[in-house]
Amino acid sequence: MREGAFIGVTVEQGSGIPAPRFEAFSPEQQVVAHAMRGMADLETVSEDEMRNATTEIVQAAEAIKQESRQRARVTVFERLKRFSKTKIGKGTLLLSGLNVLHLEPVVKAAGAHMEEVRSHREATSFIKDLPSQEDMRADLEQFYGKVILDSELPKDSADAPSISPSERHEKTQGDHLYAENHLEKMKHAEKTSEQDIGDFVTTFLPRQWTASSAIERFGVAPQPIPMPKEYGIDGHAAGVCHSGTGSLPARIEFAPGISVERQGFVHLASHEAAHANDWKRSSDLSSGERLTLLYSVTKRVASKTRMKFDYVEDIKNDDKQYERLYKTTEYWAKLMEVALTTEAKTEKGWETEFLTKASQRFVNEPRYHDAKEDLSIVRWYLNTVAPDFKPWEALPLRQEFQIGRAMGAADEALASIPPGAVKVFLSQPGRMHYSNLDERFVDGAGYELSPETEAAWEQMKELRLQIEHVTQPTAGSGALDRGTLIRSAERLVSILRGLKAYEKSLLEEHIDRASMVMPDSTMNGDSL
Amino acid sequence: MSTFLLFANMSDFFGEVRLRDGALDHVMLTGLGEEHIGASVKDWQTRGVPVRREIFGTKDRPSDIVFFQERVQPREKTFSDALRLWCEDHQITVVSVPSHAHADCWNMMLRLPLESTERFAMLSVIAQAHADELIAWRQFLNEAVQAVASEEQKAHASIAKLQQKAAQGLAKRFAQRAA
Repeated sequence: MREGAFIGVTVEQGSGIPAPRFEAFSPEQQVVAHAMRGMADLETVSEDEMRNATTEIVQAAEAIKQESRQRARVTVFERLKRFSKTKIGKGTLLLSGLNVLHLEPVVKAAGAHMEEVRSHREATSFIKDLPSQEDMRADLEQFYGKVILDSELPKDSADAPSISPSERHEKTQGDHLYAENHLEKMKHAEKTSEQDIGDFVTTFLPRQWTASSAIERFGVAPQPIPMPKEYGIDGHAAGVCHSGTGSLPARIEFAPGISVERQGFVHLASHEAAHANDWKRSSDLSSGERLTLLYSVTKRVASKTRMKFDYVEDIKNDDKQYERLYKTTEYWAKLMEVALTTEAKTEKGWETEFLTKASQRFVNEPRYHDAKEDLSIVRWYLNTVAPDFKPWEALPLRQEFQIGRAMGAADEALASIPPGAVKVFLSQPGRMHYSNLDERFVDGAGYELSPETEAAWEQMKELRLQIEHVTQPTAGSGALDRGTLIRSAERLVSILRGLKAYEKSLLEEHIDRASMVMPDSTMNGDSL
Repeated sequence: MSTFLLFANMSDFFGEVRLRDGALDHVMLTGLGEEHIGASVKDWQTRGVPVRREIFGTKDRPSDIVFFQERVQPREKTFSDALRLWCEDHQITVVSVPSHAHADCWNMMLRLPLESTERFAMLSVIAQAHADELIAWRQFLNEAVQAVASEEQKAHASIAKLQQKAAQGLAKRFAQRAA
């Protein structure tokens, strides 16, 4: 008689109908054990199958328990809220003096909490609607083929062997994922340091995404990044995600000349970071969750009622299975791009903006209902990988960072141009000199700024003052809101760029003339 | 009979100490309490609670302040005061539950799915509530407990249904394989 043990269920095999012997069961194990009763040949069921079956049941039961707890909490909070409005409830709170300070946040949190519960409920129901893992894998294998599927969902991805830095560099060269070809939109952008890029992305991406274990580095490529041949799209990419194999972190590079001030940057960084954290590369997903993610995104890509992105539609490859994979990979990145670049400040607003943006991308008419399927994927994913991340809280952080940079740029500009200076002199070829008209006007010795430039300069100083005013802690109710502020800051930076360009053109156009008319004796003080 | 509830960090519940006329009746610690103050509690029960005492001036040095440690035995009526002092020294918050009605509220709160900080906040308010207010609080808590119990029942039913369905599905799948 042979005895085979499996997760607490001991099964005797060999003679007649097997008689399971049960030891120390959880309810879930009992279910599996129950299923085993009456089976003629237990040899046909592998341990893996049994383990998967148990895991599925445990996960589903856990989801029910969690949902039930959340519902119970809502009930308690709703009642507490009602109670706090009754005469005695209110009276107790008031009479308790200081303690009101303790309880009030609890009561206030009730509203926010209910939203969380709703989102949690949606996330769990999303899982409940999916087929079994076995069926999902079978469907995916049919869609992509076994080779691709095994490569996308490696079974032992968590156990990748450790490798040296040089090997790592070599390995991370292998698998590139590209953002769409919008490099043209970024021409003439002012350069941003890698440090600034790294700091900026943490303001709007989940911290789990930007952890060094997920993305090793955000950098700038030394050369323009060509689009991959596999995509069948010509031109250059604005960003690339070099993805390693196994548990290696990814490396993201942006096209030369990238600037965090560019409106497209937030989209671009979200897109690339999404690649680094998908079903194949995320270190925060279990194998079942990887399968769930790939399956649900694939289902959306295969659907006729889904979002259309030119970039995704343009992908062409002779091998149709690979073409599908590339489209799915890019659809996922686009999906997260939409989710992480909203301007909303509340969860409800975020949801509405996502659905509106997504439904506008449907081919024929807005499909609010279908867009909800995309939202469900995003919700479930964020709930699983980054439960503490709230996309609707990112905007103020993003703006604060941009304001900081704009103010830095403004400071630099104002420090280099003395207030009130209306004349520009060239001290020597390649060097500018500004002077105050009242203090040091030398007739015929300088070059006067054009009225447009003078106006722009004045506007810039005004904007700088506005920004200073609204960022003061004492700023009153008349202060600008953050949206206006960031627009002012952006305008300021654009004027600054205009001035710099003007400065350059002055140098180029008038260098000879200035060096002739400007005597050396007047060159003191404010030279740059 | 009165009860002290012990908390750390204004939220982590360590356990309760029941007192009879100021003397120790019995102590019940949570897992967290056992971990942090379990050894100290055993020490109180055998050797008494150590408390700081101070005296002003000795025979030889009348202007000195002398500090020393004294142990207060659990059976002494001053045990409750000594315990408060000990907790204060160890940054443990003591919430006194003065009546049976208050204790009843606390027991009901333990059955609600609240975070520890939320439970502490609610307790801080209830501990100071007057008798007539307590009636309303008890009613509120009682209703909340019933609502939670009903939710739990629903969850149990859902899980049972899920298990039954899963068992049937698995049995069918395995049986097909066997055939």
